[in-house]
Amino acid sequence: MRNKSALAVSYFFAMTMIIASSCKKDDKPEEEIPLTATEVKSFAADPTANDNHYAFYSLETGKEIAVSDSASSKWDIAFRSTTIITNGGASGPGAGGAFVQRATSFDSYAAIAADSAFHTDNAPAYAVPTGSGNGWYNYDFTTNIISSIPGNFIVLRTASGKYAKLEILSYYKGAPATPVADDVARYYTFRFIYQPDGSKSF
Amino acid sequence: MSLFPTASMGQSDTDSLSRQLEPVVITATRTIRKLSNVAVPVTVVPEKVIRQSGALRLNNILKEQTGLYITNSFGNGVQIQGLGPDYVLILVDGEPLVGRNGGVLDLNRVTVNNIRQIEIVKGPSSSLYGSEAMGGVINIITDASRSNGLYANLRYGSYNTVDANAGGSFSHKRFSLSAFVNRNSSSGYDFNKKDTGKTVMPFHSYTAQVKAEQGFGSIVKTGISLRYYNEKQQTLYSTDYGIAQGSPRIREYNIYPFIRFNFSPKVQSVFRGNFSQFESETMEYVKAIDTPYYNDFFQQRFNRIENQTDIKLLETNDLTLGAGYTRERLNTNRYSGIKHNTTEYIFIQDEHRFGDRAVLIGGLRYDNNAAYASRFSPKLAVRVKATEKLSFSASYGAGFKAPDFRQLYLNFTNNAAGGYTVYGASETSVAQLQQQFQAGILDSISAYGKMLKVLEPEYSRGVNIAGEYRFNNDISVKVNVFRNDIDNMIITRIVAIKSTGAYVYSYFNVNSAYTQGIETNLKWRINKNLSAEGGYQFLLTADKEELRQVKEGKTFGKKPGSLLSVQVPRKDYGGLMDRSKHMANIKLFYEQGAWFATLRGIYRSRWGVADMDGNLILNRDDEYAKGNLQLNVSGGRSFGKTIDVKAGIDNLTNVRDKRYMTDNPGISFYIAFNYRFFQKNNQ
Repeated sequence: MRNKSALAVSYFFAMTMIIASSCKKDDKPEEEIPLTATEVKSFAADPTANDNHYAFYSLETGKEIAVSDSASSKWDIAFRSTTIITNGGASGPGAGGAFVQRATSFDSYAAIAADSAFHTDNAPAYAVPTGSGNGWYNYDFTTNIISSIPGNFIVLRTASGKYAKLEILSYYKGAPATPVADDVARYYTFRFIYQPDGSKSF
Repeated sequence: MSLFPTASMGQSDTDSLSRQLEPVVITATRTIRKLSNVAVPVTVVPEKVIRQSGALRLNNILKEQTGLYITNSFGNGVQIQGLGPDYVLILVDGEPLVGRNGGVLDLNRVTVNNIRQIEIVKGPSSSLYGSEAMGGVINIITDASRSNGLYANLRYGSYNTVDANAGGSFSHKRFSLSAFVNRNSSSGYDFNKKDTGKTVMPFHSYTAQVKAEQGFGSIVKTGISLRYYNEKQQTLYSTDYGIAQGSPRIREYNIYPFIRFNFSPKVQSVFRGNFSQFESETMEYVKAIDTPYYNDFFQQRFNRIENQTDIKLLETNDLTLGAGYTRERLNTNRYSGIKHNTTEYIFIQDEHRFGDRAVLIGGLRYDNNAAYASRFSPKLAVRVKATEKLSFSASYGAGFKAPDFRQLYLNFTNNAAGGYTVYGASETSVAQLQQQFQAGILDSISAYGKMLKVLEPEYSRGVNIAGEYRFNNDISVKVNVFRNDIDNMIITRIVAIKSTGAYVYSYFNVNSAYTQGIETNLKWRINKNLSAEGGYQFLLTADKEELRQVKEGKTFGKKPGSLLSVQVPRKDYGGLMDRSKHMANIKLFYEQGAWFATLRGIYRSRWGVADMDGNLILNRDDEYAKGNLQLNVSGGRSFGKTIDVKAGIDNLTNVRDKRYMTDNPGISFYIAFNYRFFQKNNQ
């Protein structure tokens, strides 16, 4: 199964590269460039549980942000264990916020509806609700496995007020397609589409 | 029925006689009725079939019956019409067995060596039996003394499985006595030699039963039945601290007294008691550091007194009235303190006959309980003989299952697995959660945590419509269409999150489900030596909320090997876990002179075992265990009237599933001897 998942991930990457490279070859680069999904693999979210801090990420730069910058507007999203925060409200100084879009195809979600309400973090109530079945994951207490809920993804507003959609693909190191109890948890694999022009369409 | 418990292995005079006699059944209406007059779906498994099949425990023989599915979790339970073991009532001589673990009454606890017949009533029967009789009722009728005799038999088989039985009965004038003892043991077997311990660890068990009856004059008859069961199994497994071992033990005592008054041919009244205790005790140690690793104690007492009065009204009506009182007591280290629960109930049933052609039955039962909401359970059934060959029956019934002790009183924190807590619904409340929240123990209270309330029973409505056609005395076919709707199903939900991040769970009446399908059975006596039976059940099930979500396109899943979400099409939704869509059996029974032989094939199609893609529903091929066909053969002969010998092979084709069928060993052999010391037929 691991081989298959590696295949799937590499396939996905290959597709992304092909699409990306074909875009570059476009004759009219000044015209609208289709947005492409970025995949982040096995992003460590406080895996030892001893550090007890969030792991921060900037969707704009596509890079991890140091913990020392946690009070800045440099990051957009952060992870610790199963909890996800955005840079706004009680979590940070930015304009961030989010909501969980449920039971929808990530790829065909083209625009954020005008009446969609973004929430900001106000611990212990987070914009991305915590708890099994509430937000992005299901917890199976018979197998002790956290699975991202298929069809659920996070729509978020970044620290600088831009928009993105982000789907968690795996919570385990190496992103096995079918995790087992021995897999190492607290490693996020996710994909996102970031809209740099400030509009609500993807 | 044969006249003696073990006299029926080969063909004998009594057998050919009994074949002419029509089987009777008591479970369907709580009164003795001819099988052909019963308006609800009933299967009767006679003693002879049990013996010839070489079954030892109740699950062995139930597995071979159409539509019965043996589950493998917390022991072996049984599903009827797709309703799980929690919803099936198991009776011995009309009295419920107690001692369920995880809702399952382990059928391995019941030996079938002293059974006269097994009666299986499908569909809800709570109008007569109250709680748990939702999917059906299985009543084991143990043998009563009908003659004087003593017998002993011994069976030896693969995995050092030894089953020894001895019994006897005595009757004189209006007194009768019968006694029976069984010892069953096995060395177990191992599917995975690499890990510590065996797949099935060595065990032994004892069953003893004594029945005595005495009549006084023509009006009064009294009696008592005593049953005892004792089981000990070794355990051995590895832990983080070293190898743990122990010997969990189960003890069960049942005392069933009765006194019956035959006031007149038209009025009969019986008082029955059921005083039972079930006890399980597990103490496991890590040997290396001589430290207790797991300690569990569970003791359930069940006391019931009941009256049932049968009155013949006119020539057309049989009226049954009943009332009873149940008191249960639970003492376990899983809960905080000793728990009590009491139930009072009354029931009424009227059977009205319209000549020989039709019978109409109506019944109603009311159960009142202190700890959860009370419940009315109605039933209506009709059977019409259209012609001599063709008959129809239809029934509607309600079933319910009371919240069990676990759902009411559990108070359990699992420190080994992250410190989550599960509260029974009576062990916590909105106010209590708020208190804990203010004290900083809880980080947040979920939406469910604000909706905690008194649990209601789970309940079901079941409809069965059946047709039966007898081509002649040798061939008959039955078809039954059924549908069960279950509401208020009790499941756990998160009520709060602790400040440590661990969850707090409690129980709620949330889910609804249905099971529906067709069952068909064919009996064909091919010639005087050979007879065949075939059965098939087609079953569809669904959790109604899951199905609604799937239909609305709101459920997503992942393809095997992929991390990307895709919509789950309706056709991929497999319904409830642990159900086979197709189950079938074909059985051949051959008899000639002193010889007999059987060949039985039991098929079940794939069944759901686990969610693999995080949507918690059954939608992917790798979420099923493989279907399989199992073949069993047996044969034997009797030598005169005193000795029988039989031998058999179970699982002839060596079907195994090391992961999902750990209760099913590979091919296994057995040989058995039976000896009757003396027998005076005084009938």
